[in-house]
Amino acid sequence: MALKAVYSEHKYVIGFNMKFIFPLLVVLYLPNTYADAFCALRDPVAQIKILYPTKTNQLSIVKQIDEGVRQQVKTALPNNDLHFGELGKHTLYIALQGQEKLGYIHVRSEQSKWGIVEIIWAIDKDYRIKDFAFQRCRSPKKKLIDNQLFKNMFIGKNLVELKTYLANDGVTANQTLLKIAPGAPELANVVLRCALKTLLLTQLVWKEELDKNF
Amino acid sequence: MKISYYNQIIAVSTLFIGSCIFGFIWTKYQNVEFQSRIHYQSSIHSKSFQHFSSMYQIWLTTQDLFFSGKQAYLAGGINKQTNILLNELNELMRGSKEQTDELKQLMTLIKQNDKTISSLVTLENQPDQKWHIAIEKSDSITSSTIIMIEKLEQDYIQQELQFSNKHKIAINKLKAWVSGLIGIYLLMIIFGTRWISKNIVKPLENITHIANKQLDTEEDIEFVQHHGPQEVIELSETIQNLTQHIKLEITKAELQRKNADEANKRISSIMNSVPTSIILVNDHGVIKEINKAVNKLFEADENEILNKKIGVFLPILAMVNGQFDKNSATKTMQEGILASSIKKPYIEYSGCLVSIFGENHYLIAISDINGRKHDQLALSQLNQQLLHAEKMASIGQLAAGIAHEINNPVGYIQSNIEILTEYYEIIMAFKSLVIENSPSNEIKKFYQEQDLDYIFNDIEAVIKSCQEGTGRVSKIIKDLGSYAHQDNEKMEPVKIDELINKSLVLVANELKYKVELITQLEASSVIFGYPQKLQQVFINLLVNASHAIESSGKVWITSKLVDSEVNISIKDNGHGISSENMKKLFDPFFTTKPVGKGTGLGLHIVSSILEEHNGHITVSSTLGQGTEFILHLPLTNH
Repeated sequence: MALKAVYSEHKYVIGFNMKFIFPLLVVLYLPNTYADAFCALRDPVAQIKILYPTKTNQLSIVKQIDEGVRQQVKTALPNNDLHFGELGKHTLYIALQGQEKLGYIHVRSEQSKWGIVEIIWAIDKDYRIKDFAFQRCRSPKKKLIDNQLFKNMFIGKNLVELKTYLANDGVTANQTLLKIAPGAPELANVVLRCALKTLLLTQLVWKEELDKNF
Repeated sequence: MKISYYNQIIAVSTLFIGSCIFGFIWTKYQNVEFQSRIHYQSSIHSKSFQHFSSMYQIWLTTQDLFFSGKQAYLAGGINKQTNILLNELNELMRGSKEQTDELKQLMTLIKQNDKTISSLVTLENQPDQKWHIAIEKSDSITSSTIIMIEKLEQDYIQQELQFSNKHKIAINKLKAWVSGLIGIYLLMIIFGTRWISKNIVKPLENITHIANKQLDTEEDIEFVQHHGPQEVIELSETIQNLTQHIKLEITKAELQRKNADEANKRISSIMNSVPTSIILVNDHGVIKEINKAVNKLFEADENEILNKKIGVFLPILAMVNGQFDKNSATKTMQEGILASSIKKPYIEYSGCLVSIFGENHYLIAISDINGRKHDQLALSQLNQQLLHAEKMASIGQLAAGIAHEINNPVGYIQSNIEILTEYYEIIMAFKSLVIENSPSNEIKKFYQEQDLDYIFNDIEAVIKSCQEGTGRVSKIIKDLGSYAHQDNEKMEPVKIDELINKSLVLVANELKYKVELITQLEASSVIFGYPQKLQQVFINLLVNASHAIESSGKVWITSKLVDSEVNISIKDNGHGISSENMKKLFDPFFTTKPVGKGTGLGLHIVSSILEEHNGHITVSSTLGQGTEFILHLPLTNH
């Protein structure tokens, strides 16, 4: 367990000079480290490589998503709720190329018709969607991910821009997005909800630390 | 063709078409029902599969919880859910033959997934690579399963949609057929109605129209219809014939009306010309029609007579309560008296019942008989005079006999008086001797010489003889007086036997010298009548009987009561009456007696008197043997 970089929002005490050193060490020496807070059923490392082909290592920051965060999510995204399974510890990965931060990796599971859909999100440093992929999806419509037009509706979009895809109910996507996903509206809705929650939670939970330490 | 045939054709065709339509619609309806059932079953399958799908989603969620939390205790629940899913698939397989293979395959995959999960329950080290392998395997299986489920779901939805469409199509077809058939049926009804209207109603309307037109014109109009049902054609022909017949009848009626008018005028003229008053009264005795003679008779205008009750003018036709006396109104030749205000009251009326327009009326003809009454009165007076004269004549005839009858008692009365005078002188002389106190010898001698004993005895007998004689005379005179005396106008009770005896007294002298009178008076009855007239009858007949006997003969006079009448027979055995004379026997002024001996009125008066008593006389005679007159007098005389 010594090899693991264990972060705690409350216990994380590290010297200013050490703020780059320690994670770097973790990434360098423990390239296959599993975070303690496992957000997905499957190991996202392989997907991170796909999303960040040039990454050489990654760091993971584990944060607690609690009831306060949940209430914030409710306020920011009305009608969207974090279910109890989403509470608890969650991991954000930082993709590194050498010491250069390429971006962030956030894996989130979203309830869908056919069980949990796990999407691994690549977020750039400006908290815009860089890319995404299904890590786990049972739906036969998962080929939607191969639709570049659909992907392009997300790539480069920040939280505010993505919210424009929401319909009036605040849960489903509007036609702007749905018309790009013919035959798979439900999966498109899941992807959009997941994207919004991911960007929001990244900024709510991890942004302060990311901006301060990385 | 006949309307009845049309009716039969319409009825049969309507029944046939209706049955066809009903059968066809029933078939279509059955198809709808069939499609509905299939659709319902399909819907049930679809919903069952949707339920299965929902359960499956929960099953997946449970697995996700199992995998994410590595919570082995969920494995048991997952296994139960798996069994539920398998049961539901089994249920679906029973009703879904088309999807059997897919469902079986689905069951296999679910079972495989269940095995995968079951393999993890006994795993000691959860982070073992086997866990991730199991997840991958499960995801692979469930992904395949989901593809199949989505396909099946689509299949079920499509199937339901397909059956729903089929159901809707069946319903629409049914609606279309029903609408179409109703439309066709309505069209048939419209065409049928138009056809009936054209072929049946129109000819009838033509007839009606022509008939109405016929009322306004006198022209001959053709009723006959050449097209249409046979009945209508026959009807039109019948109406045509009937119309012609009616026209003929109208012409006849018009002619008859003219004749009737003329007849009415004639009758009216006659009625107003006849001196007889004719009155038509209704059933209540109200005067409705009169002729002009009535005005004169009733001394009133038409307005004063019409609508008045007949009883006002002719009281005999009114009952005590003022109602019209119908019985009296139908009598004939009834005499009556008009109301007291009318100066000439005597009338004779005859009435009869006539029916006018179904109502009873009474036609009363009234004759003014005031003149006749006057004549009758005069005649009656004449008759009375004649009767009296004849009676006087008979008295004249009887006078000699009566005188003789009176003379006899008068003779011996006179003789008796002479005797009594002699007796008186002797008694007076005897008285003088007694008064002068003559010697008794002298007195005695005178008494003996004059035979005073005889005188004193004889005086009584002489006086009695005188009394008897005066009585006889008195009776004869009395009977004669009563006979000569005229009767009262009113009838009175008459003891018939006593009256016969009185008559016999008067004719005694006529009979006693040549006739042996045989009386047998057994009537002992009283009748109402005129005694003098009846006495005249008896005297006439007795005298006639006496005259029929030339020298000597017999006369029988009998009286007896037969039923309700008194029969008096006066029979002689004289010369009889020839049959030739029998015919004229009661004619006035017929006589076989020499001129100056008879008036020829005797038997006529006898006959008249008997009629006056509501009686009659019969006569039978045999020439040379005698004659018998039988008088029939009723006991009660109304």
